[in-house]
Amino acid sequence: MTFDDDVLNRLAPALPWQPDWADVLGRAGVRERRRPLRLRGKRRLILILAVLAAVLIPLIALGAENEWWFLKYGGGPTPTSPPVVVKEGNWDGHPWELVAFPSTTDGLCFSVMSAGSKAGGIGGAMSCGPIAGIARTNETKATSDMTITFMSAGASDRLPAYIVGPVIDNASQVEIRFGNGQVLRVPTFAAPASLGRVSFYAAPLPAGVAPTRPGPGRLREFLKSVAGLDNDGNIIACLAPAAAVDGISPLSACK
Amino acid sequence: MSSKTVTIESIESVYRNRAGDFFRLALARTSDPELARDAVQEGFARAIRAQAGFRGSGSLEAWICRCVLNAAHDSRAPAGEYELHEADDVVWKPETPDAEVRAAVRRLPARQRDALFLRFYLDFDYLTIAETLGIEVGTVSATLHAAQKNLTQALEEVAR
Repeated sequence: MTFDDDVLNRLAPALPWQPDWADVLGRAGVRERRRPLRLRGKRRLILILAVLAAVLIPLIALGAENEWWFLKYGGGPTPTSPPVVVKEGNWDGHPWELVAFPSTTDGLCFSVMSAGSKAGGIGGAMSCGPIAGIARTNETKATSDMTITFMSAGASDRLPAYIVGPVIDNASQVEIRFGNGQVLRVPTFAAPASLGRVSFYAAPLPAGVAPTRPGPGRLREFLKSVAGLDNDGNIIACLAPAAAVDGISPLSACK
Repeated sequence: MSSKTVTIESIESVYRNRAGDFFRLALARTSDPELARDAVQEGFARAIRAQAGFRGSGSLEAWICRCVLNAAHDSRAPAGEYELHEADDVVWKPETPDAEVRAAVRRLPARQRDALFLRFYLDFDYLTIAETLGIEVGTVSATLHAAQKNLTQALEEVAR
């Protein structure tokens, strides 16, 4: 390696690259012809659908009547086992539930909705991504497992603004650092064993914090990092989304 | 040279084979992985939208590269002008170049910097570098030599 090689490698290291041709076509205004319309780029969903969900999903969910609303999201991820209710709770008088299922192609999918709206998905949002502890299938996308991620949605008439996500199962707490400097620590709760070895966290957003619409540099205005902590307070999972690559950050990014 | 028609499929082929290298180029220009990824995605989208404008007389990779560089430029000031991150905003510290490296690169003239990036991150030959940057192929070698010399000198200066 020459002197210049070292300098230029340090300037732009060979980070993993996850192609997303469907996104390119979408930006170009071209409909993809070779594959049916379906959810793609679930890692992007974590960042994009999450903040748009309060707008998008309720509209989509209106058509669902007899089963989980997210399974009617045309061409969405197919469960490998039935969705399970991971947690029920109440935020400021608004009952909610967190539902999750492992999918054939997109790892773990999880959804938050107003309690009792299985079919309608009122206030619901969903995100998917490969998570450590969730069994892969032959069709699961060949990307590395995340150890923690998040989904966040703005306030609606049924739910306050919230943040929720999966984390590796040996995390007992999650520390959330928002872009405005506020820090929130919340306990984790384990998923049913049928789902896999994974835990979750969920919390309403503190006053003064609201998700921002996506765009270059915008996410960091909302969220600086989410970190999973073990019983001794050590960081064991980290996502600092502004500069994460494919939803993965080194632990040092959360220190 | 005969005129060639660029298709979405040919652009996709470049994407499948080279987008990771374009990402490094954009990362070097923006110093922000999020912006770099966005620049690559947007650059290829621009190439599709402007495919009719490809004259077919040069390299498709060079033409797409210009689209990516333009997208990187639009997303943020070029590396010669960017502001350094706040310390606590750099979230991939182990791989992040230190301030001296970025300061040294910032001192390079834009053409020298881009020629160096194209050679290193994309392994472009002199002709393709010339097509991408819109310069004479005969000047590429001298540009690269000057870039290496100036970068070395700049690193020595900022290290003092």
